[in-house]
Amino acid sequence: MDGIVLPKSLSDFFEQALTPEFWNRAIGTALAAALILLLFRILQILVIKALRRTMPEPRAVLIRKAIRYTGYVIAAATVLRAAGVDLSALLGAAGIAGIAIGFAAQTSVSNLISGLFLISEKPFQIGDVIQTGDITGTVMSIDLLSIKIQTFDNRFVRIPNETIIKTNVTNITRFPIRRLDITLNVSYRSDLEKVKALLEQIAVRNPFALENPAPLIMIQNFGESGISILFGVWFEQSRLLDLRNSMLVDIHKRFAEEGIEIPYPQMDVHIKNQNEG
Amino acid sequence: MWEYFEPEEQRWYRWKLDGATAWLRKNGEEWRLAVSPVSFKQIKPGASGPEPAKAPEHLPISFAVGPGRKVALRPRLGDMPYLVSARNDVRILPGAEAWFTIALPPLVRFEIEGGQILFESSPFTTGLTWFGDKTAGSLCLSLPLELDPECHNENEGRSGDDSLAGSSRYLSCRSLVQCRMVVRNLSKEAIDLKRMAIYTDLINLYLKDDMVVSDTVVVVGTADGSLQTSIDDKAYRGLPKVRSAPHPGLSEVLVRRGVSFLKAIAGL
Repeated sequence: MDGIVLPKSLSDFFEQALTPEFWNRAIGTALAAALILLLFRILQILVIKALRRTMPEPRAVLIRKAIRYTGYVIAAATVLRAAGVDLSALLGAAGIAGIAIGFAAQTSVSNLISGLFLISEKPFQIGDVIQTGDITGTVMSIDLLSIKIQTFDNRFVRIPNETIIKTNVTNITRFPIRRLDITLNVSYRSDLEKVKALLEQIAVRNPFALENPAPLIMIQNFGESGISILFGVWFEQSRLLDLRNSMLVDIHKRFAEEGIEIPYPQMDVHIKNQNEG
Repeated sequence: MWEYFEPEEQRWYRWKLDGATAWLRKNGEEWRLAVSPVSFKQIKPGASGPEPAKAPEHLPISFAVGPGRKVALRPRLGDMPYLVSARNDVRILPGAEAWFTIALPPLVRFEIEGGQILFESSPFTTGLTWFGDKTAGSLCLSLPLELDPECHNENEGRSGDDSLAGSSRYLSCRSLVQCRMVVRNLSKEAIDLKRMAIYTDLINLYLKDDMVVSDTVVVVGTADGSLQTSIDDKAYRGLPKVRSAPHPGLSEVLVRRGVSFLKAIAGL
């Protein structure tokens, strides 16, 4: 039976292809498809130009792709309708196939929806430094299925969007200034007023420490081996390493010069002689 | 000191910049340059140059290559705003205005004729500070200055005033940019001046008797409680410029000055 239908259809096709009406319709359909693609291209350019300054890059990319693929789908539907294909049957088949694919691709769909949430919520942008779990690095891209991170030791890490949505993410570079907290221990013999004045002086002299907001100096508690002091210094977020290194060197040097002891954990052991009892 | 001159070949020249020093040596198209910076707080009046000198010792030398006959050391203001963290409080009552003269530490650059830059450096080191809240704001250079107000006819006979001694040290430095500021209080509340940010992007610099002077910065405290800053370039118009500020378009000004400018032109 197939052997009869195919040659018949092909012969019909070739018969129709020789008529001027077929060519008129074919050229009209091609022009319509081209016009649709052109219109969507113009729409894409206009929308992106209008939103470029106000919208973050990932969302702009998403909108651009959505416009482009919508144009492709409408152009394809126009061509198929002109070719006499019944689209309702095709859409029904696509729906069934969609359900089947949906079951098979649960994880991908979950990531896709999480990606949409990430793009709309904007907890971080491309270029931000984020920490999630034990991974810290710079965000390279935010895609529909995953985000890509470049760690500081130059590793490439792909994190599925679903994981990002479920876990705590710390955006380290969200705000322009940060505070470096250094917890110090000084011995019980230290003059706390002198220690406080010395820390203020160290902060003032450090070129990476900001004068405003002023450094935080807080005596926290009386610990086992010394008095614990929190020394918080504000800095511009890109100068973390410079500040940390210079500040620890300065504290060590100035404390040594001023005779302020940084105690290490120690324990007094009393040995009781049994013969004495 | 800031004008173009023609250096002899293979000879070092030095500029004394109130405690900092800059060096230059020309050898055909090769230029050797160095700057020895000083802390802004340790500045000492005494500026001169260019004068022949020995080669700088223990300093990193920078190289630049380019054809040029004449060269000049030119000042320019930093890209970061300057924040005057005043050591003395000043209160301006509603309807009053006060004038201040402050000295801003410039960056210096060696320029050959045509304005091409061979080298740029900061001869005065200053601390950093933050202006604004912790989620937004500007990183600024901190100037630990005294603010001595001048009012109508009330600045006469104060040359012997001890309170001026601290600021006069800065005001007599020829390598600093002398900047006039006027603060007008048009609000109904008294303004306590403790910190003032000076945005430098629209300020012109001029040469006046070998001193570098700038346009006047006008700060107006408005009735809605906000502060508006603008630049008045009338005071030194006609003097030779050592740095021209860009003339911004309206959109640029809107972006730079933000909502307060929008409020000002809309009369809100």
